[in-house]
Amino acid sequence: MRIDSLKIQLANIDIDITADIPSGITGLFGASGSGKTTTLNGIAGLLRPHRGHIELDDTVIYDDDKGIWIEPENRRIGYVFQDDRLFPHMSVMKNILYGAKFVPKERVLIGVDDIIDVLDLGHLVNRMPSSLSGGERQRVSLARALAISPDLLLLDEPTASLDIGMRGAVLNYLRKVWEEFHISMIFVSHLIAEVMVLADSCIAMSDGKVVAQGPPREVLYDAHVFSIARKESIDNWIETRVIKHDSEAGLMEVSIDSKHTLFVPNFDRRKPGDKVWVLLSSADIIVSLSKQTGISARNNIKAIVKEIHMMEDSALIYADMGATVVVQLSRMATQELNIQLGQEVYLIFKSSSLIALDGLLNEKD
Amino acid sequence: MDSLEIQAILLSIQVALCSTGLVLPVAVGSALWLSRARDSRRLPLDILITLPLVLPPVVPGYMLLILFSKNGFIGSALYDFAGVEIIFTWGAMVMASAIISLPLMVRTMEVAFQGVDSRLELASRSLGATRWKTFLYITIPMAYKGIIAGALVGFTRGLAEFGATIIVAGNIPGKTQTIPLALFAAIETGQEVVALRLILVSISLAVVVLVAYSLLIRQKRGR
Repeated sequence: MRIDSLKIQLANIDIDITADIPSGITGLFGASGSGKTTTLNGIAGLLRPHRGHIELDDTVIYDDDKGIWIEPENRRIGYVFQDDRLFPHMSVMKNILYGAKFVPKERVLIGVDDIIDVLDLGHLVNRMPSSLSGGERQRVSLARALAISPDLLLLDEPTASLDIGMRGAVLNYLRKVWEEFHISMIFVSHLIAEVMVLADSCIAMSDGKVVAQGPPREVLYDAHVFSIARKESIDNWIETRVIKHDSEAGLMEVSIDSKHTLFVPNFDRRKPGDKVWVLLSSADIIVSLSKQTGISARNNIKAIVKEIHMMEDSALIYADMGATVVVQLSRMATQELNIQLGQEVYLIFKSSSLIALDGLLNEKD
Repeated sequence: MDSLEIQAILLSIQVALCSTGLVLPVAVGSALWLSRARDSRRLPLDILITLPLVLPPVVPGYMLLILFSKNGFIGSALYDFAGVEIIFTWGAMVMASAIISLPLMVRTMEVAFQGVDSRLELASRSLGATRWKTFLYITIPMAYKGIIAGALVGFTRGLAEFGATIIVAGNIPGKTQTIPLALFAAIETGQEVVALRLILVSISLAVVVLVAYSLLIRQKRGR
């Protein structure tokens, strides 16, 4: 999809963006107030831009010069809102079927049964939205948007209202949706970690402008982009598999690859061999140049420095410990340790600073 | 109860039902528009609709008389083209009742429409529903109790209508005499027993409608 000098002026922000959005999952990243949601509303047609040109799969959906304006109901763009916006007077099934009934039969590409299956909603279809949990509501909202067989799916902070454990689940479902149905998505987030895990490409916005565009790793750890999000620490999401439980110590050993293992707080519902996402804040990691003994922290892992980004007052270090993790250090510490590219370091962190994410229980592969 | 009293009761119900039915689409449309419009734009319509509520009913009654009499702007046209004369018929009573009950209906429904989250309507549009279908499937089902409540209020007001009606339709027993008008005639001529009967009928009808209304409101709160 292509957006040319799209201008939206609102009381609190001026949006002016140009972007080429490839197929796949695109993360739209920026601090709150940077204009991400307004941009989505402009693409969806829920808000009429003042100037510009938007093209979706070679169809012009908005062009002020040519006077083209396609009404939102004719755009075939699914929208998953931050506040799920389920219709309270309809059951889950009726919510899902709502948009489907407006789609001409020959344009239906995704069956409702498949959607319900992929999103594990079978047991919920007769419930009313008011009886659902936050994560369930978000999944129904996603199913409802998919049921119109959209050409593009817009997701506005779909995990913002969820607790950290459920976030992993929703992200996992989004990944599944892409793999199953191949519908391109624009996914808004103010969390770097989410974009890193989910997106194939990334657009970073600040004050209504695009400041960087490209693969997430290049864009999000760009010092300029990072400074936009500097107020938050970066979470690392590490994919692991359960090796064994140690219920006495209250810990669980998980492997990143054959050489690297972590100790995380015990999580009974996991069986050995199950996949677990582990969350580790970049600010919770200590870097040591040599292996430390006689230390209480349970995780003491050898890693190779891959990249170093120096910023105004801090530094971001990319290190490979079987998975790539980002470590946030003060600029001074980085200089004093004289950390170099390719150097072998030890990353030390307590097992209590690791969080094993809930919600991926259905996944056994 | 004599046949004129029974006729008055039936005519009251007939006029109130017809005027409510006639006003319903106008009231729903105005209420919806007012509930969505910005303050500066809504003011003229708001004032126009509210005027009959705050004016003495005789004023709109007299205006209808001027417009619809045989020499009036609309009345003369109707007479010339269709040979229809509205003044002093039950049709005039329906018009009078409609104008007087419109503001009450709009007020009640406007509150109901304000209660419908416009973000849900946008979600509906994004799912492929046109404005009209969104109104039909989202707005109406979420506001229908307020719409019914508005219609009940309008119906009750129609039953009670007196001031505007007597101006445009007079008080002709068996022809344009509703309960309030028959009551007025009974009091004027000192028929106290008839007056008492009509008062009881008025109260009973009003109580039935108000009970229905309160049941509806309670259900709405309980939801």
